[in-house]
Amino acid sequence: MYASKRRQRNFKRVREPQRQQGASNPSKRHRERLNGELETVACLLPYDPSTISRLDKLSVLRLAVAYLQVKAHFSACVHSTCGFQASTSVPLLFTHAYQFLPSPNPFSAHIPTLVDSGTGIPLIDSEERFFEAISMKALGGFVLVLNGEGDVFYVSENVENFLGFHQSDLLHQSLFELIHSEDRDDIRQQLDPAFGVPAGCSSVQDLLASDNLHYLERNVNARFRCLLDNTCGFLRMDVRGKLLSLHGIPQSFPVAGRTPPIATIGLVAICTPFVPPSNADLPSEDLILKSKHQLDNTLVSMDPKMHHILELCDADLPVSFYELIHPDDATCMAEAHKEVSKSGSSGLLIYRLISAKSRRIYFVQSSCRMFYKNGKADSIGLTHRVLNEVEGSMLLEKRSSLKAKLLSFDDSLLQSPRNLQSAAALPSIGTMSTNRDSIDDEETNQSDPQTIPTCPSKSPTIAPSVIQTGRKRKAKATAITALSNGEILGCVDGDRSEGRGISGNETNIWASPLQSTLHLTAPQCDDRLNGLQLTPQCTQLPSELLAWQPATTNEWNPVDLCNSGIYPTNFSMTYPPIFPSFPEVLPGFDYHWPAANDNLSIQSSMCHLDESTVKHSVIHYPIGEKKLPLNQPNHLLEPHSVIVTPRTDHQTFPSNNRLCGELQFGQSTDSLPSMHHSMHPLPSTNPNHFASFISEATNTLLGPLPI
Amino acid sequence: MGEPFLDPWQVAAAASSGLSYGDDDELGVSAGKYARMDGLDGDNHEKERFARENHSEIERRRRNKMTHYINELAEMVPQCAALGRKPDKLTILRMAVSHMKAIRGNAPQDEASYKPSFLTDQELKHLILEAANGFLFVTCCHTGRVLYVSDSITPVLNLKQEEWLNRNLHELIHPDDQDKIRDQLCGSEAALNRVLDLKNGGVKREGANSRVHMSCRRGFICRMRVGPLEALHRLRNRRPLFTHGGHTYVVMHCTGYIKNAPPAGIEAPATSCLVAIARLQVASMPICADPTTSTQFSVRVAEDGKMTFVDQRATALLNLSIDQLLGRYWWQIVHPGDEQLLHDAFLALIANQPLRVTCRVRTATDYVNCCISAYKFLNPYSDAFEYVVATHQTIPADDPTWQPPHDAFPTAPGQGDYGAAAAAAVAASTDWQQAERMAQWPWEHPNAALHHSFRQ
Repeated sequence: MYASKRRQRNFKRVREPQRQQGASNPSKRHRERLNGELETVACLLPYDPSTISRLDKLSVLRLAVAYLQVKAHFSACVHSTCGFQASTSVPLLFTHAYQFLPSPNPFSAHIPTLVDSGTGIPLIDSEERFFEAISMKALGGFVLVLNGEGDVFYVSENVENFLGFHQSDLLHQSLFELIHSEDRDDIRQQLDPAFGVPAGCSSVQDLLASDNLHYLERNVNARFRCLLDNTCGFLRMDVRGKLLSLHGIPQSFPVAGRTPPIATIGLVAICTPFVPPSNADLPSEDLILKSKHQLDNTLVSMDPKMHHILELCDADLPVSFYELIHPDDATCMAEAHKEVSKSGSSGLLIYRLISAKSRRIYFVQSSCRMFYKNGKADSIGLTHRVLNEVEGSMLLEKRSSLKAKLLSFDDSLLQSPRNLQSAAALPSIGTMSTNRDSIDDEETNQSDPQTIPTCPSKSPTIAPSVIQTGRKRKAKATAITALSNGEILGCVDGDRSEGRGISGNETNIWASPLQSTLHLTAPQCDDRLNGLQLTPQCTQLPSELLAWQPATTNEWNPVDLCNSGIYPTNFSMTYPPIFPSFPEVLPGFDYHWPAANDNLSIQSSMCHLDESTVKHSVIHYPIGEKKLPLNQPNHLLEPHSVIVTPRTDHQTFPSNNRLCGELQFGQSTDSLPSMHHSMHPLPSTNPNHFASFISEATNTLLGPLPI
Repeated sequence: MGEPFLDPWQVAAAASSGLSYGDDDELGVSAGKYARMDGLDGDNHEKERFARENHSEIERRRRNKMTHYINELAEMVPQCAALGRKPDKLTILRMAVSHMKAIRGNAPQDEASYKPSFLTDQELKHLILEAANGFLFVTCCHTGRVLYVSDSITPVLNLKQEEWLNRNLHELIHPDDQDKIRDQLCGSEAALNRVLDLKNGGVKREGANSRVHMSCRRGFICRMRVGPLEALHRLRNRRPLFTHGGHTYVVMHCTGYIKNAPPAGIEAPATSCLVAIARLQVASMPICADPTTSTQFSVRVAEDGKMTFVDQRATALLNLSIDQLLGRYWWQIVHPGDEQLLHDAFLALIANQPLRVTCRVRTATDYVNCCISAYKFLNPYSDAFEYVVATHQTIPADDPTWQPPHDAFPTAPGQGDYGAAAAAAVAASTDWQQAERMAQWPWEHPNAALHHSFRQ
């Protein structure tokens, strides 16, 4: 139901030269002639040869139709007048605000984007000089034109930077394949010319009269299917534009002897993402800033960049964070503050910070997370993303709308884990009650974190960490037991978990009212499992964050990071962090499991991600609120579990599952048992030999904070 | 990444859309595997079964799709339509070829490095115009000089390209926005603010720090000068327009990036430029557009009664600068006759009495009636008093009995609907955006016209 990445490449047009053998029959000859013409059509498509060679026959035809439609539209625009009078033979351009008047040279002069510092003469960058590339980059989004049916009439080439689909994949295809099914109706609604029109306007003609043209304006946001790495399968985008009459579509094509053509009403819009994907055409230095606050939200420490932004120096701290927020946003922050005090994390919030001296306004998107120490709430950590004014005001205005609330538990932050320096800040075991029954009344017990009994552990101080994400679900004893024993978790996507002894419903126990559950069991020590990571005992963050250093002997020397002061506060991430819940990576450390005779339940460790040795994928599957029938996309699913599998070169993900993050692990040897596709659970030949994870997908991501 | 993985459901879905499966049809497509799977033995099984069952159906759909496209092609090619009856496939294809050649022929390739593109630059520019009322421009960061502006500026602002080219951007925008533009053009090191220290010959940085930017991307809102308005009927009745010094300005959203050469991070060396698209903001989502907030401003008052924050709308409404207000006692902003009233109300609020009064608020030259509402903002965790948030809603002069709508004022957390407070905050995000919303969604307020005219 959702578009897949590439059209099949099997069906190359037959390209062998015509054979001279007389054995060919008339039908084969006919076929060859058709193919030949098709080949010619393909070569006339406005793509480079390598793209053309990848197109199958259906696509060639599809693109040819799309091309001709687009050209016919503009041709009609040129030859029509942009007016409000009815014309008998030519379709009206009454929805067009501007006249289309191409000059004889359809391609603009090259555009200068640099200037010579000495002479002040504008310079043209030979790498970036064409109007299309430059304007698309400046736009920060792609242009989309839909016809009345919701088919893509045109989409600009840079769509590939945002969604991963090539332009040729999308043209003349239904847009709805690309949109999250929950959002499709919103788009359909926007395509209706009568939408948003007050009762007074009775007909479409009235609507299109000049005074009412503003009723044609459209603004909607929707989740688009996204194939890029480090996204969770969807990218939420703001679609902003207006309805426009399209003149290239056959019904509107003026042909003698046909019924008078009518223009079809389509949509032309600019689509910009709420959170730019990490490999967008601009290198994204989208840095995440962090700050540490006391329980009453007094700011005690923060990233150096935040010092610059807020114009505060250390001497000014501590200061009440509320003093730094625009008073009209105080309520919003207060809501989040209450939320985090209650449940350990807040959703995403948008608000404005005011710099202390120059009173500059910064739009900020943040989330809060509670840190615990010795089982008690100790401090609040905030993660911030600074937005520019355009993004900020757009998000601010959506703050109170219903769909915006979805942003909190949405892909937004998960979309660019690469940008996030995160560490697991897990709620302490102590905050979770051990009353299993409370899980069952999901309606009433919204605020308590999920109850999951902990793994029995021989180590007195370390217990399995449980991160909680997702929605509250019923717990089933069997699943809990399964976890306690360190058994493998099945892959969680509603369809497929049936075969593994854990039904879809049962695995749903990981969902808790506000957070998913991440239950970790450490593998028994297998010192070949280098680089495998687990979250630390997060109740003790940050001061007890331990890292294991490689030792020359078999002795393991835990290093107290914080005390040794080696914790860097703002190194840049060179590899993608896993999920928000996972601890931050320290470069240069290898993490080994302690010796086999230690019965590990959880190790405190940092994860080490070394892309050069990446061999494992951790695929994070969402789990749904309801068990969907087979063949239904699991888009309703929420992030839930993670499976570690060895990565093969052909590893791809079924597009029906919404990926909430992908992590590659290092594996120095092939110590892990060979695994099948991530859809299968890890084989549990020896439960001591691997770790199972349920990934976290809370909306907050924080790293260990500088002391 | 490897080849696409196909689930059974996906096979079915693809089959139903007729994609890419099946073997020979009249176009000689060779039979092929329809899916690649790796290590999915269990799933292969299902897929094969699926495939066998649906094979002919898949094939049939594919042929239908092919025919459908060819028919569409026929409709788009004028020669085909001109024929009396529907031609055969080969003819259609041949005519399509010649038609496409003709179209392509009209677009001369200007040079060897010409990049094939679906749309010409002009066509793309037109779409950007229609979708966003936008035009592209490039300015030098260091000097603000406009190096390039596309001809789309004419339909949007009714200015000629020459009126922008080589001018300084600062002359083309509202004077009150110049500082903001300076901030956007420069990185965190404000090159423009360097001042020679005459005493010791060193260069010191003067004045406040400039804005900190986190990336090369830029996005800002400013007011740009428009040309003669009569031709811009789109603008006249719809957008809030600002006049200053004899010029008229309209709100534009600019998004773009700083182009550095060579890549030098996010600071802007002397040779870098801002490349941006300026656009008239299209309608935003019709959320709770609170029409009253355009005539509102908020103030933060400390425990001692002094104002510690005044939002920028006060400048527009009162013609006073923020600096004139900050640090003063809150009751000093009202008419002397009302000072005691407000002062007492403030004390009462601290003692947990709700505050809602009407006072005459000072402007630069006069007084304006305002309905003032305030709440005590307490720290949600400790319940400690943080400050008072006061909202001032101007009352239209000719209707002293006017009452603000019930949700005009943001309320303290827990007291009111979060949504309303947020909506008010939302509407307050940029002072001049309020009037825009007002113009777009007429409400039942009897004095709507008054409020609207206020902004002109």
